[in-house]
Amino acid sequence: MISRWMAYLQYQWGAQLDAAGRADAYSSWSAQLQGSERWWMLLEGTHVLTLMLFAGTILFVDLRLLGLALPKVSISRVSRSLLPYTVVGFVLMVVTGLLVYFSKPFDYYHNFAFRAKLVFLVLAAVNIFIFHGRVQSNQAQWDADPVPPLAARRSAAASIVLWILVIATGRAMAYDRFTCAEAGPVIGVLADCEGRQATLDAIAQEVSL
Amino acid sequence: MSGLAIITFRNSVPGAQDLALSIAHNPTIQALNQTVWAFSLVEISHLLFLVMLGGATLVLALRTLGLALGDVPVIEVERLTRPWLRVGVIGGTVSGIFMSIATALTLVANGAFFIKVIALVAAVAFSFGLGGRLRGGASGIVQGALGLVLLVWGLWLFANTRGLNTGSMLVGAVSGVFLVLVLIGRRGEAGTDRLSQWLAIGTVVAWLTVTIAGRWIGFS
Repeated sequence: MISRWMAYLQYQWGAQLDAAGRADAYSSWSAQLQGSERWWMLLEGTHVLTLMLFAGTILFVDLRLLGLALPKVSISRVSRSLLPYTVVGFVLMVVTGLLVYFSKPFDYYHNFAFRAKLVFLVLAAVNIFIFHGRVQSNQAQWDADPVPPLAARRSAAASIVLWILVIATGRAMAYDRFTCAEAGPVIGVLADCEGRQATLDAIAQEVSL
Repeated sequence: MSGLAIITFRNSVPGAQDLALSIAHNPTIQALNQTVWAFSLVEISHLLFLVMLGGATLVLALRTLGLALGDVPVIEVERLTRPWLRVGVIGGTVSGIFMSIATALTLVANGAFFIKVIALVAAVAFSFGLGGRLRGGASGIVQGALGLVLLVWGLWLFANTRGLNTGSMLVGAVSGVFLVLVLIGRRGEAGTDRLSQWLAIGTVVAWLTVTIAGRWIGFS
């Protein structure tokens, strides 16, 4: 069902109909975004830049939580100072990321690297919620400690590892071997390439590809 | 779209094309290029090194300009970010060379690659000039002047090379937002001198140019 919906977004949403009443996939809004060379380049370029702003600043907050940076400065002072930049970077990264995704929603949905990236994004979000909900509940007691307690260090280490995995899988989305075009048997199952083909068969009468 | 020709290593550096050809025909390099997992791993690590040096550059620049960590001595922030900057620059350069060797023949004729290399030298000059000045070991004037000349040249090429000017628009827009942030910020309370602040601005704009020109290699 999700596959079908993504196919609609990629091939049919906003598309013109030909004489036979079939959607011209190359005229859909998604295809127009990908085809609009200048907007597409600006979006992708901005997405890479926001990565530096977001991940680059969160790295130093995590290093402080690990006890590896600015031991004489309280954690709340470091966070208060750097996290606004992290948050701005995150918001821009999500907005540009969603727009980049919209350029090929069906292809990305059946891309193993994208699926792995989503899993790591969810895990990173869970880690943030655990940090704010549990670990931070008694922060006043260890806020000025050069080396925070184990739970805080674990959370920071998980944050660094998960964001590295998000970036790595994000880069890997461009590799053909993670798409259904060149997927091996395992990747084929994980990317649901059979489902992809079933969706393409189902829309064959409605869409001119 | 400009009428200017694309400036590349092929048409501006004598012998660059022959060197690229000999690299491309080297059996070891060819084998390396076909080792897909190794190439992918290097590409991903190149991006991670970029994040590392981008974060280090940004945090030090923000502190130098009084926009973050205002109550932490700037020398401490410089000491904190220095290893990350160095690892980022060295790792990014080594992985970049690996990628360049594997695709030498394409890159030697690529205008964005030429701009990236110029901006990279400018960015390194600004970064090490700023670090040296903040530590008190160097004035940073020579590095700053070198960085400025190269950055202006790189940006001029970026804006005037066929097919690349969208990239220069992005550099201009993001640099503009950053400069507005600097202007409304609290530079007076930063405890740093004017030249250090200009060097900090230079580091951000130069690394932005390196990153965006790098992305535009794939687009052009």
